[in-house]
Amino acid sequence: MPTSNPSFFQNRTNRRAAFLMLLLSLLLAASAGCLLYGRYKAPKALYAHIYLQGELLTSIDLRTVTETYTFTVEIPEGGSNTIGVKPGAITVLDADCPDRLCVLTGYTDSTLLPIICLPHGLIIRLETAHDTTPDAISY
Amino acid sequence: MLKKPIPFRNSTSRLAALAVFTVIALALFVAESAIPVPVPIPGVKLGLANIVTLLVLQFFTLPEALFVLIVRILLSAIFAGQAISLLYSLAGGLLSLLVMALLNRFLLGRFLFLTGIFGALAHNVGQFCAACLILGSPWVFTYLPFLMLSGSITGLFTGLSAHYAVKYLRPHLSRFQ
Repeated sequence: MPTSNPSFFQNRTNRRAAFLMLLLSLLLAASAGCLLYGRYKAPKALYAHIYLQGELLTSIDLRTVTETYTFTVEIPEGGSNTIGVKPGAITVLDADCPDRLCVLTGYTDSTLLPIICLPHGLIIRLETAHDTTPDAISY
Repeated sequence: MLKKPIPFRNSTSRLAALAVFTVIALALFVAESAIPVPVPIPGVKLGLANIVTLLVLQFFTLPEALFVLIVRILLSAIFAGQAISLLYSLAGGLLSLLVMALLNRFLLGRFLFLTGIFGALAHNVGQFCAACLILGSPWVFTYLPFLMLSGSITGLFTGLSAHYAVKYLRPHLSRFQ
């Protein structure tokens, strides 16, 4: 006799949906774990590496910075990012990119999250070492 | 059973309906660009135009959804006036459409909110792959956990919006058969 209220899992599509929800929760748990790990365990930055379109422009030893200063990175295709450095931290003070997300990031000293200006192809990556290029690590 | 695409009487009414959906997607895109993003993380956005992609996948076929998506991305790049964002949108949009088309078939058109969530996540992953290639740096991927969380929330919102829009629109669209 067919039950009038069949179980959720008797339907194949429901089982598929449940599987996807499980997958999603695992993904979210992993992401949250990564974020918490980065929040509490990421080491303090010692060096700031500034990349423009994949090429290392300059490296700054943040420990030797004694007072705040600024400089400007000119983008070959037009536009510029003004970068501010203070002891132990770095930021993009001003930029003429459309979204200005790099400016909104503010001063950072986290090795976990780089400052990224997507429209200009600028990345400021914070590291504990002075000689790690992305090529040496990833290729 | 997967609901059949709406059988339009002729190709003209079909084309007109697709054009209307493209216009809705563009209007949503423009409206969304007026909403400020509360967090300084590249790639976080509501993705309202994705509602239309989900609707077109429900009412039409995959090639037509691809057509609407590409026309919307090209026109929105003209409105936004950024050539570089065109590449990010295309990479995200195409991967998102692929994932949503597969999931929509896998789930027989039901659980649209799940399709929306995974579509949003795929959009973020596609954009980050494009950013990785354009910037020549794998470090952009460190933002991915943030985008997985934000994408799930925005994807749930757009997916649920599409779910209720489908319920409301299907009887209206059927009148054009």
